[in-house]
Amino acid sequence: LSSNERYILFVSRSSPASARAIAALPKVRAEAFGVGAIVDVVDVASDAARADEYRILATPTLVRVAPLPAKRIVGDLADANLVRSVMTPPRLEDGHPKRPRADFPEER
Amino acid sequence: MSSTVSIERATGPEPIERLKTNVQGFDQLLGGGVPVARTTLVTGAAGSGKTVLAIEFLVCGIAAERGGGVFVSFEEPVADVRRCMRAFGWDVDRLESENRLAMLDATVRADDLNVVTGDFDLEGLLQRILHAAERVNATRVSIDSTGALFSSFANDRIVRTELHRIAETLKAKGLTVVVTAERMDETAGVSRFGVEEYVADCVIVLRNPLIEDRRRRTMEVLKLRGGPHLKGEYPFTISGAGIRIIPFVDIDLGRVASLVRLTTGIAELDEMSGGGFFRDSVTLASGATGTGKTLLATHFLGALSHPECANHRAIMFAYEESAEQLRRNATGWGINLEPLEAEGRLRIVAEPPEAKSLEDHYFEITDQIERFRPQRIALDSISALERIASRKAFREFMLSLSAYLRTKEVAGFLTSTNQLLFGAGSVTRVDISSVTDTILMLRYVEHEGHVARVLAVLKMRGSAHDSRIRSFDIDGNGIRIGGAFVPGSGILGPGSRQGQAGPNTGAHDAELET
Repeated sequence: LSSNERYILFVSRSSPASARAIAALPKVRAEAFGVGAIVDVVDVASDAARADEYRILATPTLVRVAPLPAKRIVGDLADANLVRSVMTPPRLEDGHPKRPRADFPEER
Repeated sequence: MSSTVSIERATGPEPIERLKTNVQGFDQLLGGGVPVARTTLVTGAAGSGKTVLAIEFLVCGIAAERGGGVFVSFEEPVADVRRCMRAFGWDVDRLESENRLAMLDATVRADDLNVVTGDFDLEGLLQRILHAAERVNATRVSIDSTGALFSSFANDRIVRTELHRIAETLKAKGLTVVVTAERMDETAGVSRFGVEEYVADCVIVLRNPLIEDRRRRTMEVLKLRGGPHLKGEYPFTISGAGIRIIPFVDIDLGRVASLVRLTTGIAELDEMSGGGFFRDSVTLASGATGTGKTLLATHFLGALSHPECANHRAIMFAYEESAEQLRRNATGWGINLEPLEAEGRLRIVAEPPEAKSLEDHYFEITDQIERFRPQRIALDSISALERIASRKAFREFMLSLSAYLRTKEVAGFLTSTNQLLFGAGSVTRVDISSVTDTILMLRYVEHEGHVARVLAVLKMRGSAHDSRIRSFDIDGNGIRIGGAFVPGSGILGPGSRQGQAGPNTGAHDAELET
């Protein structure tokens, strides 16, 4: 399976909120991300360059890197509906809502 | 003065070690520097100079020392901060390539506005600062400004707790931190969110209020834990040279006054003043328009032609006339300034007083003196400078300038225009007679149907002088001072004595009072 969806979850080892976000990730992946979406989990303490690149201030921060426009959510991902409404890319209305479409035009 | 010069005694059990900022005048204000491994809060309204101070703290520091610095920018893109640093003459690219400066982009852009759900912390920010600090071997961190964090994350409680934790962590790492915070207006609490000051061991307030139609920047050390510092507001400027603070109490009271005299350029005035002006003294010539103040200043400069001043230099600061007008007038009085200028011994700096603030003029004068190293300067007139500032600002300017001239052993000749054509007014709108060593009074007097001019040495600190009122004329050879002007009375004001003759001992100087 391939997907054009890419996400990074920035976390911090010592933080309880980050631990909760990591725990919520499988559910979020199932409900909000397309099949085959690539999800990286980055610890800001061990990869500060990555955190610099995305100008991360808070942890946990979930970033949708692709497709554009980039989106981000700060917090422990407790509200699954909110995560879905912010993160899920626009899809075809063809009865296969989870199938990503590569050539979908960018939505403003 | 007492409100501005008093030194606060250390209240804490042990003084906190200080880190020199190397920002001009700032360390004097702080009593040595900011507290080492602590947080200093810089607060002020928009446009008060917070970012510039945060930059200067960092770059002046790393330019003078080994340690590196981290600049964390929340509001301005780092490209803009770099541009700002370059404008102040810092070689940012070199500092960054040599790993002495790290620029940390912590701005939140429109396209990555944060949606917040649930709990979070600012570990991302903290880890980035710590990594950058390690990379450049930092001793200093500037954070500009925390206000943006509150608006980005819409959870003041968490941001507040996290800022506190970040400050504690940086402190534990031995980093000295300057944090800026916006104030809503001049009268509001120290910072907008009312939290940052609890984190800080030192609080600096920047102001830029409108006083008598003019903006005037001031800086105040509001709080400094564990050590003495200067209290009250001090004026500062922001220019190509960065931030410069005028700590106008910088008067060395222990300095020994010079006994070396410089000729006034007029033989009779030398004689009246007991041999000339002291080389570290400030002379004020006061009189109505046209009485000959600029003439006296021109003679003072022309004195460079005397053999005893063969290697001396002088600067004329002209605020009322152009250099060309001054030269032409001088020629009319038989004093040729051009050869002195050609020899590089005389410099004429002519500027409209309105061109800049009084504080900027102060630094223009002191910069010129540092570069040219003159033995004497003339300033024509301080009344022109008085017009552009508030009374308080002008008084502080005069205090600073006279203290500076004395310390540098430069003889100053200042002119001041009296509003009244006849009789006596105050020497200046603001009483500055106490900061001058010598006061020369020039007056018009009515005498047998003519207007005559008279001159008197009103006071001369530390010297015997002629207390007589002398008449004088002006012709193609400049000033001609005659004998005592006998018939006139009431020249100094009501109740003055008439025709008192002979030099006095200098023990009781005549003071000008109105």
